[in-house]
Amino acid sequence: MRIQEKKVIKKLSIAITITIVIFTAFSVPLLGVFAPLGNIIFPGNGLWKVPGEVPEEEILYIEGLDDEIIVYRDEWGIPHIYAETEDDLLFALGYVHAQDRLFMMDMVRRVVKGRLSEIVGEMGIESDKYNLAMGMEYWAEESLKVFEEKDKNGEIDYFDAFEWYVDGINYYIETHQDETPIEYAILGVKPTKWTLLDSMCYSKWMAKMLTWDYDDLYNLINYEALGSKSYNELFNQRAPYQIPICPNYGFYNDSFMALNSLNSEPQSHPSSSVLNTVSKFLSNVEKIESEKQLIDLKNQNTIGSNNWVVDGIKSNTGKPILCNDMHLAWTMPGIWYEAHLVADDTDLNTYGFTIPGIPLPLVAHNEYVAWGFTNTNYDVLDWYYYKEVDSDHYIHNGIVKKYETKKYKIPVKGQATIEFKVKETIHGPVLNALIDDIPDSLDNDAIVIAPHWTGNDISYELLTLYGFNHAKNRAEFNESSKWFHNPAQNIVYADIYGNIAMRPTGLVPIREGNENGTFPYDGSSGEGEWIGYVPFEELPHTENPDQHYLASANQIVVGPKYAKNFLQHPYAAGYRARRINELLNTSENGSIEVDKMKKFQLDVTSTAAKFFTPYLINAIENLPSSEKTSTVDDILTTLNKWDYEMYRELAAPTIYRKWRDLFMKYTFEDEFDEYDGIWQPQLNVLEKLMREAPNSAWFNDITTAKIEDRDDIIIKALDKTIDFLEDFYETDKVSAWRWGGLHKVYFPHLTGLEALSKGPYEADGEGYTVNPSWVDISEGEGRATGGASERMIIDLSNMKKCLSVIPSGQRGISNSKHYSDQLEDLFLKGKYHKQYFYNDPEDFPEEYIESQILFIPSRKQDNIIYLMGFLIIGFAVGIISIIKIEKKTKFCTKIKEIISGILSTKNLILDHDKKGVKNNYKKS
Amino acid sequence: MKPETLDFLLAILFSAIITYFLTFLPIWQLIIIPGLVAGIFNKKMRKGIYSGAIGISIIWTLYMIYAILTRNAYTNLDQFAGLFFGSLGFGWVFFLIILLFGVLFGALGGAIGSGLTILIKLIIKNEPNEILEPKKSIKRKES
Repeated sequence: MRIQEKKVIKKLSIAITITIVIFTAFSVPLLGVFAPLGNIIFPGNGLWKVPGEVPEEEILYIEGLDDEIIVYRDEWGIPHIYAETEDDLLFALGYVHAQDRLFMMDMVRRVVKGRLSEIVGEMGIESDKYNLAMGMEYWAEESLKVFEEKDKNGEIDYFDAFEWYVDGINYYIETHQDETPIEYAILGVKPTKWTLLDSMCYSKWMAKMLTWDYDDLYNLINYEALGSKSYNELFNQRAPYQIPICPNYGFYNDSFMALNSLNSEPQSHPSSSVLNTVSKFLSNVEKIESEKQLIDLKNQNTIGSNNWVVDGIKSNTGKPILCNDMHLAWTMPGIWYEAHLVADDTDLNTYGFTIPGIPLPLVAHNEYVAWGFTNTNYDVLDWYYYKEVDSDHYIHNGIVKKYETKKYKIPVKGQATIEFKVKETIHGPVLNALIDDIPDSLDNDAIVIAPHWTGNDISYELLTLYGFNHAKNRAEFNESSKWFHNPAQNIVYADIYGNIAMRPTGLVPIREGNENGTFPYDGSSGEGEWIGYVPFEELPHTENPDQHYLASANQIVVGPKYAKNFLQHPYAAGYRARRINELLNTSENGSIEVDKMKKFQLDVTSTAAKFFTPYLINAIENLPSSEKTSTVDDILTTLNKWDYEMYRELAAPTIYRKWRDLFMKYTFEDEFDEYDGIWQPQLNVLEKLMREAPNSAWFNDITTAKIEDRDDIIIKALDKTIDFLEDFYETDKVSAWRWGGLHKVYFPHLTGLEALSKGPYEADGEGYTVNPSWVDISEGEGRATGGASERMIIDLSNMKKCLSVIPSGQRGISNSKHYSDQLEDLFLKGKYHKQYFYNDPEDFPEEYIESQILFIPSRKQDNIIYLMGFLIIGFAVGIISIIKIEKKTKFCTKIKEIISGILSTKNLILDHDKKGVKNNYKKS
Repeated sequence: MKPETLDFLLAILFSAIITYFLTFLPIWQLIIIPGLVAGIFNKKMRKGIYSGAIGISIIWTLYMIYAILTRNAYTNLDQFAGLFFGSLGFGWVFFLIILLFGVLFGALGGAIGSGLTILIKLIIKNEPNEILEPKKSIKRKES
């Protein structure tokens, strides 16, 4: 080999080596989970293909449609869909849902169906196993079978429409495989086909989010730690100062007697094995990310809601005005998707909040009725513990029974598929066996734990939603409510005829022996068996009350006159409800208008502060002058001037909130630490003690020799508050302690990726204000990640005056202007947008139309004819063009010359080589 | 215009055209092709490197600017950069990095393309290479 060749080879080798190294580096999955960097960043790939905005005009030819469908998207990207038939309507809804929220839809179905690991790898396994074991997918599948059966029997005639909805989603997925949201590019996966089962899974996901909890198990730990008397004093069902949702069942007396009127005791005293198993199970559950988040959300009261309605006497329009803001965890994009749906064949004209993946609005209004939800917190879940005989048998009600088993598979990204088995008792899946190390060979003390949950049953909620959206009066609406089983909701109602109502409804179990489900039951002894459900007719409800308004904010549903059935354990502390009732009650008849309702929804006046702050002021005023530093004086002045509004620019909310947290901590922490209690009581229990029992033993700090009372703890909390705030704000100037400095709101992306999240933003209010944002400031700046997930004000006198807003945007595409426009332009500023409620597309004002889609029906035969036509015309045009070009340029002749030139060069080279060989031969 | 210059410009043109069409394919690894083609057009390796790099970088720059203007792709770029830098505002860094790699891929493709062409020519034609054989050394050998 010659030197020149060696040099070229050397350079080539270097270039090829560098190329291989770089190409390999960009082709290897990042951290084993994410797509290779090259697939994400290089032009033509990944993030460059993300469709930022929807096209301004789209015309789609769809086979099988009944007629044309028009979709107008307004200035906020909200679709207004006009169709002749409901089948067509839902096809278009499916299409726009997928167009705007595909990744979110995909994530939720993956969570429910235990398919998260398929895209995120190992980190999703625990959560997948747990969710599969819970049985949500199984029951979604069973529910689907029931719907199919009803369709077959002719009991429902709209099942086809749901299938069209699925077709709409799949049409988008199939036609946009290369234009997926950025999350797909980052994860390196493609969206797969949608099924009706996926839609059914959504109702299970909602049920879990709103009704699944571990309260009974925590209650047992607390009961065992504190003893019966203390437990019932702090955690009894009749929490104080509650204003029941339904006013027609009386009101509770707020004395301690009433507080303790329903003592809760475990039916039998659990053994130490049971307690250990429960503790271990809870500790392991908290290690599963999805469960930890759920527990935290519940503990922080993030999940809750407000709804209220006034009748035509309270309102200034002569017709009801209905409001709803559902409080859920904030995400980007948000859970709700606004849509306006019009179908001529069923006379449907509804505008409301849909969940992408579910074919109809959940909270909405049509031309006749409006409705909204809050969570009832009915007790719909019991936990049971059993003695396990061996790995296949357990004892139920004294009888040895064989477990049923279900087998599941979890495909894991980058790993082999995992297979596992779930054992089920008569009540539900054995969940502790899944996450604890339960040995196969067991002694008599081996305990297993399983839940009995109304969510693990057939879901009929789609029937309700169909009924609600088509209801024309109270009777039709009421009839549909019967099918709303889980999550149980306080359904507020109003209609154009002037009726208002509240119906807290859902599937509520009746337990043997009037048990109330506070603690887990001994399943081996047959405790706490469900013997039925409270009949719909026996559930509480209120219509057109004398007070001319109705309000729910997750407080207690009924007063003492409702004694027939036990309904609920946990509910909100009641401060939001107290404030809403105050606002509505003190409003003169005929004074409430839409603008006033806006102020009510955005209200940040703290009812809790109104009751707590005077005690703090009083304790400060009673301090000896030697202990009143200038900072304490400033605090006193600030608090005395405060009207309890928790605005971000004020210092008083900062002082109050930090002090209140520490007051709670120093009241209960000593005892709870001493006895290993795990939950602190609700704030209204502390309020009760503060107002009515200043010398309560709970105020005494058991770690000191002195006997402390309420004011001692108040001042101790104040001292620590001053230390904390001086340290945090780095100044002792009280006016600089702005609430917004500590209190932020944050909207995390579904995946938690910070770059796709929004915030933190300074904000008003806190967890107990009507406009809520629960924030933990124990370590300093707190970020609230939950609150109003939508706001809606429905004016039944003129539906075109209705207002709404969501804390994100319509599109889940992070580079779209509609990703966070409503959040940044409206929600954070306390603004709303108008609902463009026009029932005819021709009336829709052109200035509000940002983009449009026209779906045109096409048939297969048409497509073939069009294709043939195009081919013939194309062929003819091609031939004519070639002839013309040839005439002008002699193009073909030139090509011939080039080819013959190449061939002659090749011959020359061959000749040259032959000569070379000959010469070499001669030389040798 | 000298034939070599014409080859160089044609190489840029061809690599740019191929790069453009490759932006429609989701296989980024094919980006080596424009450089290879550009390299084949040039007799000198250096020119192969330049033409590949220029061809790709022109199209990638135009593509990215177009995507930024029409699809708001800069937001995506910025958000993606945010995953690495911990905060938004570094999209431009990624823009430059992508461009830099475009230049690199073109250069490497060009080097390989022209290198292979030269090597094949050397093997087939058995001719000394102009670039790799400095004139002085040739003279020295001749003397």
